[in-house]
Amino acid sequence: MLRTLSPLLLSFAVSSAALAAWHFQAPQEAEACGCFVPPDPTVPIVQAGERILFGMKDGEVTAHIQVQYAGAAADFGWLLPMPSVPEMELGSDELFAQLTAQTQPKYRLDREYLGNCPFDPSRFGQGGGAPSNDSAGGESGEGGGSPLVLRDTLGPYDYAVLRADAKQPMLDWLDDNGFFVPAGTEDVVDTYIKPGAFFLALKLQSGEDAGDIQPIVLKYQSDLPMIPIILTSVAADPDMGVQVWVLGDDRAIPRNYHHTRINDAAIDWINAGANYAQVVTDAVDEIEGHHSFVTEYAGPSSIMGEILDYQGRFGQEAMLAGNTGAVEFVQYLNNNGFPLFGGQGPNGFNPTFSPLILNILQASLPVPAALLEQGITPSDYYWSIQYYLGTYRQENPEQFVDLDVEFVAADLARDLFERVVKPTLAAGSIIRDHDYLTRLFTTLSPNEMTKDPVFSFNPDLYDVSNIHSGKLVYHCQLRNNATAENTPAVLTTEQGFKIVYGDGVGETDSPDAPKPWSTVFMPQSSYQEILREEGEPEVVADNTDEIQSALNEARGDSGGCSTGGSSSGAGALLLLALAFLGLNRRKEDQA
Amino acid sequence: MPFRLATASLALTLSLAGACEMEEPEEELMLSAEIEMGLSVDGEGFYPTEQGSDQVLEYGAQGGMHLQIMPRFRGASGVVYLERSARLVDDGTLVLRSPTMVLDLPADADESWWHQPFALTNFMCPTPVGIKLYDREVEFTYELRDKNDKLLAKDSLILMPRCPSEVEEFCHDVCSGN
Repeated sequence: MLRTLSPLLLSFAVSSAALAAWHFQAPQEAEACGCFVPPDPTVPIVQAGERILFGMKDGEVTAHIQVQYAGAAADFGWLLPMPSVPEMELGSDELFAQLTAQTQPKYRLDREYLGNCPFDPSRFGQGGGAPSNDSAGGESGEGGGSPLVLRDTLGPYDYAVLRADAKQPMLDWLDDNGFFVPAGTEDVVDTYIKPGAFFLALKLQSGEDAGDIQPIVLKYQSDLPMIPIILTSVAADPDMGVQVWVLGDDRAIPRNYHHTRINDAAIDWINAGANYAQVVTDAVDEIEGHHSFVTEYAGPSSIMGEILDYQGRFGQEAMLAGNTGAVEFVQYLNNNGFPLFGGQGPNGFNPTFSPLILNILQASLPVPAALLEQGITPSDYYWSIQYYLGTYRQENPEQFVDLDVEFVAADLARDLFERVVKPTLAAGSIIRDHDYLTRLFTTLSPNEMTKDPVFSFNPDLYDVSNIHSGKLVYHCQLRNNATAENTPAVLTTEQGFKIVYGDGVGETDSPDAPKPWSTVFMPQSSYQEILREEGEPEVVADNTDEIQSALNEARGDSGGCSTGGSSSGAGALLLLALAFLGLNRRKEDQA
Repeated sequence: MPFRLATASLALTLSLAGACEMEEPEEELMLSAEIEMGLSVDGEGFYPTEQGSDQVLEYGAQGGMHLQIMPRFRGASGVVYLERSARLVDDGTLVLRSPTMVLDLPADADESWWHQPFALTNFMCPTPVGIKLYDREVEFTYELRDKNDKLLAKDSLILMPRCPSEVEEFCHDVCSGN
């Protein structure tokens, strides 16, 4: 009988916060993604999303897959159907953090101040005034009858490749050997059972914990990359995010899924696109079957620059191993690009180590428990280890009763280079080996996971920027005692839609107040398309006129898009001004 | 850029592109090598076939259905690049553009036919949205190019993909474009 415990499959972050990369969060938070819901073995464990980078070259697919898991290490298991016996390597969390950060959709507003706007920042010189909205938006050896082909270890993992020409022997082998399979897998695995097929099964080695989980890299022969999403359906959240990056010579397309361009009038521009993920979810749901992807970025892979593998990063293993003292060893890490910098800290930057590096360091040079109890994070401790083991320790010796700085520098250096440095440099290499990068996103609920998405390429398609710009014009001439909140304003989105804030954008500041973009009943997609492997997109539905009509109607009803209050005199004047100015919607969507 | 200006620029660009195309030499007249597309048995060996012959779609390991084609080459050696595509015969729709493959042809291929040990898998299903890909003729085109993108050889083969009876329902599902 199967032990229907933790599965695992691939998992991804969905919200912008989760996608915002580990280096802006405490490691505990980064792992607490809620991807899985143990422990009842009869309940499928839930995953929150999937993140995959595909590289296509010479008929070989290279898949970097980020595995996120928040259960007990012993309950961790992972299954993936493969077209051939794959080559397998360790991957890099930082790859996904940087991909996310560099290609994340961002919604920015240029502000224009007409009339005598007391809150016009130019009146006060630099800084102050209007709130900034430049933050990231969006998402925020076989034998006998055994199916075993090979079994080995890699980093923290124990893995096996099994023949998948018959279901029961494979599932029995997994059960007999402690590879857990999620409840419901038996019902959906049939699609992948066939002669010549293989399954990769993964679990954590004994002694490893969930914090040791890191991405894996699989290389296998295939014409086109595919995500076995049907298998994921047994353990997925509703509206699970599926984030895919595809490297190749040209822009990648979803071959057997539709393509959606979201209605950017539905975006919360005032709050930097905070509702982006919901708009995408609603937009792709407008397609029959809910099978559609949004292209979030399509352009040169150089957008990633040399972030991962810049010259001299990480130093040399031998030199690191030569630092036999704890302080010197960690200082070498600090000085050679092991921590990343981001967020806000007391010094304006916030050095943070990845959860994997922290796990490796903690195993050899643990942070004293008393420091953790005081809220000092492991990243703080290692970044400032000279201080904590120097002055601070002299002043607070009682907090170091469990201090353990006995370690083997060569072993720790080897571990760091094997599990962190090599995968990160390899990730940088695959970016540089391909000219073009496409980022695609969709959300799928388990009942919609009936079709495995396949990705192909179209050299004729245009680039897509992840930076979106709108314009917000304040009409201060229409109101006395104008503030940034109460001044009538008109927002022109990138796609050319106009949203009138008759009572000012302040109406969006209250979380309970109706939002213009949510109270106007309109399609959440501007275009529904089919992308072929050549030529321009085939437009299945053009909703732009319907969107404009809905916005016009809302404008006429209330003097603004908000339905939250009566039309103000200023709002009515603004409408007249708009009419006078003859503002026209630019129909063309920004490619 | 104002929209009208952008449109004008695009029109000019297209017109210049068209003019350049017309002046290009017909590269197919200068082919220096040969490709012949055939089939294989269990993925091995080269077997010539007739245009339009039936070919059963094979189950892929990740849930797809594919056709195996064995090309053989003559008149070239060393590193060359193979580009593969497939179009519906009835309306010309492109249904597959495979990533370029790098081949290292042995010196023997300069003088005599040479083929790889295994046939090439041509990804058919899941099909592009809205396109049925069984019981319908598909023309496969293979082009061999050198490092300078010069066309060395070209061949086409028309096949009629058929769903295997043992998984017909599944095949119809993933090859119908739904």
